[in-house]
Amino acid sequence: MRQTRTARYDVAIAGSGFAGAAMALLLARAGRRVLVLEAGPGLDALHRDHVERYVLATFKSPSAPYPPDPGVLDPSRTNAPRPTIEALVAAWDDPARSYFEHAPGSLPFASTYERLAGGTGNHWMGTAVRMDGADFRLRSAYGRGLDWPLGYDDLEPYYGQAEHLIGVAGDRAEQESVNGIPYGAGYAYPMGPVPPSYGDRVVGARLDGAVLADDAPAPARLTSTPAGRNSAPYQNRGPCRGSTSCVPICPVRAKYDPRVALREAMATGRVELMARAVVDHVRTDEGGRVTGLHYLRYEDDGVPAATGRTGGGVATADVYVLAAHAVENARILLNTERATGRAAANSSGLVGRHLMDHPVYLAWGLMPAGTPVYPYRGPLSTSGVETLRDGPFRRRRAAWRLELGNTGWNWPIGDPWVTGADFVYGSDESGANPGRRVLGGRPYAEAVNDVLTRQLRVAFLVEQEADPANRVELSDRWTDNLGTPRPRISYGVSDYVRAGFASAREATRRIMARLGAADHTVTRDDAPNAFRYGGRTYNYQGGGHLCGTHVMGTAPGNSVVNDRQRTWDHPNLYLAGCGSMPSVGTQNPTLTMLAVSCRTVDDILGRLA
Amino acid sequence: MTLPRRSILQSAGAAGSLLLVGGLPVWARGEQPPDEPAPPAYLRLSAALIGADPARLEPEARAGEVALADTFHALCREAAPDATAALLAAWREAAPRDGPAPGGAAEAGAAGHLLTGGGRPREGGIGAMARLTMLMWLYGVWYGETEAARVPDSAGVVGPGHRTDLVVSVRAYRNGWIWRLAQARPMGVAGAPGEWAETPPGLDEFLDGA
Repeated sequence: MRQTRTARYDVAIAGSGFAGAAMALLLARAGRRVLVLEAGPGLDALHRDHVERYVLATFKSPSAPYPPDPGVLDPSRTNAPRPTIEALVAAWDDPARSYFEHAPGSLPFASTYERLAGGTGNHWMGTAVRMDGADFRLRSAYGRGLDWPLGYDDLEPYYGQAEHLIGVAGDRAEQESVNGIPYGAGYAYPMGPVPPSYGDRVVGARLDGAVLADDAPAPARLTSTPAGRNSAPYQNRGPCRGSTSCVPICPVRAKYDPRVALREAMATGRVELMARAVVDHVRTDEGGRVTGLHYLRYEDDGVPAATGRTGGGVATADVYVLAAHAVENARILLNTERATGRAAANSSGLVGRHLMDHPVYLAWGLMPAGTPVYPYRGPLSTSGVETLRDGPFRRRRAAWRLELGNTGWNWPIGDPWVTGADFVYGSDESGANPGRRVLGGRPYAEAVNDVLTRQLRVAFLVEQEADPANRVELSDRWTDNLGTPRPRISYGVSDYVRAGFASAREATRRIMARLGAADHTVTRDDAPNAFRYGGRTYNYQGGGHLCGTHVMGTAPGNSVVNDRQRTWDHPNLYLAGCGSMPSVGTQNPTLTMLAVSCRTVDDILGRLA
Repeated sequence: MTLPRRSILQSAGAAGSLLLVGGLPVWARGEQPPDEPAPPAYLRLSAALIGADPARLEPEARAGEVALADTFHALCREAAPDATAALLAAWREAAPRDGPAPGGAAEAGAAGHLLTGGGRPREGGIGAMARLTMLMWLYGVWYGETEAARVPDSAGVVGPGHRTDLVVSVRAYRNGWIWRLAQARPMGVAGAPGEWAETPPGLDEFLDGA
């Protein structure tokens, strides 16, 4: 078995996803030499190969385009496994088939991620909304969760840097008008917004001005959503052409993904990518300095893998960054103590704690007869309601952001597959064929057309506050094919979140009434992703926004990293990614995480100078 | 767990298995000409099942590409030769000569005859092969597993090697008619920038090219 020691670099980064790829690029532009260790496959597959995998998958999940095959559930015999929707559906509580082990009493953690070059950013949706000022002060303003050790003003210039690195299409004036957050003088998004959909216009005309929550009386206003999706050529990538598959993959690469930054970083000649190199622990010296990242190598991406570990080594550099994902960063740090007997970055005991997501309240309905919205066209979402994300109500219940979908009932029930089959089989799994009709010919075409063109979907991203009981630990029984313990998850949703769901449900009722739409939202009492609140059952979906696990704070006793994402315990170890976020607000977190990581690069460059 | 795509897509757990027909995965078979082309009646009944103009059902083929009707028909024959022959015979009986005019009551009646029995999904080989044919044109997917699960009688029609759900080919998916019924494009297929902001062409234009 090969044991290798890498040449010395300025910075060694574990993970080539959103944070890792962008940091490598920015460091290389500053003349620094960087090694990026990627747990999964590298850049050997062509983009069109991933698109073809998506097209040929019967289950078009967020993981469908990416290896290892998400349809074969055998994480114990997979070299770099990850959680998948396939496993959630089939066996969320069976660690023999599902990557996560859940602790007794845990609710299912319903979000997933990828492990390959570009990371989970390969399947991100592209939403790039800034956090509000109060989102950084959830504890001090509303007595909930945790505060950040920095504020919006500290991050504002880095938001701009991140938006230009990604290529965000947005409308500054519109965002300022709905959020009240100031942008830098003279600042403009790299390009104007992606056109809102036909359905956005129909819904917006009826929804604007509505009061959706009595404790948030500001009128609702549907506005375009800033997104990392080209509305004009940018970075040698063309504009969005409405492929309606942003998650999991944009076939024309109008949507930014971290492979863009990674390829540019490697083109500088100062960045080296080592693929299929799984960092499993951190090496430290007596004084607390990190001396290397230990990694395991493998060759087989198959499931089950024919071979396991084929080598390994220690990557050395002056500065180290773990940017492996919120869950995997915690896993590496926790495994360090198991592997070396020496704890890493965990003097606070907070590594793995404060795991968060955006639990999503999903609602769907049918617009009135004669009022089509023509979904299944355009990006997955082009508009949302930003006006109700903050207010004194956050003392009592979680805030939410409303995202209006462009893909009908695809997310809620898997349409158009389900409705189309209902009229073939005389079933009513969609709720759109209550007469259980079996149709063929033009009557079939017209019936299915009538349903599909009137489908409406809204998603409420409910803020989840930091809770130390929600955590990642190491399984003491289950490993991957390389022998490293897998994550064990403890997850629940507080009454604060549940009250946010109740508010979202009431808002849905008002939206449907305002639109004249029929609410088709289905709640399943017996589902694992169900909870009770106020005498009702709610189902939550995963937002795909895994945060927490190594939160930043003001002191070593209350956090794992400081406001620059540098660990309190190791002067040359940084933890980058959504794991550093002490609160998640109500908007997709990727843009904020990238802005924080751009700020971290400045800190690293200052230390290397 | 209640998560999306549960019903017709319950084959997710088996997605790693390959349906090998003639020693090739299905999607590779979509690139290989079958032993014999589909009879014209197969194309006509296919169009009738989803209410499309037969002249528009088959996408234009570039050099070296196999007609979808040929691929779909070959799959049906390999899965259930007798039932496929029975389907064609039943179509000829219900729609003599060249078949009914597209979009007319006679066409709907003929399609209904193949698909239904007493208001329910027709059992037996004719119903099974009609549905599998219809679903291939709608989604580009061979739904052998779904068919056997939804209509238990069909398990005796479709051979065990074909009781699985798989996308037939990239072309078959991209030609899926369900997207036209939504006046849209298949997810994953690019259109024109900004077209989603406009009113789409009418359903008739998608079905008939009028």
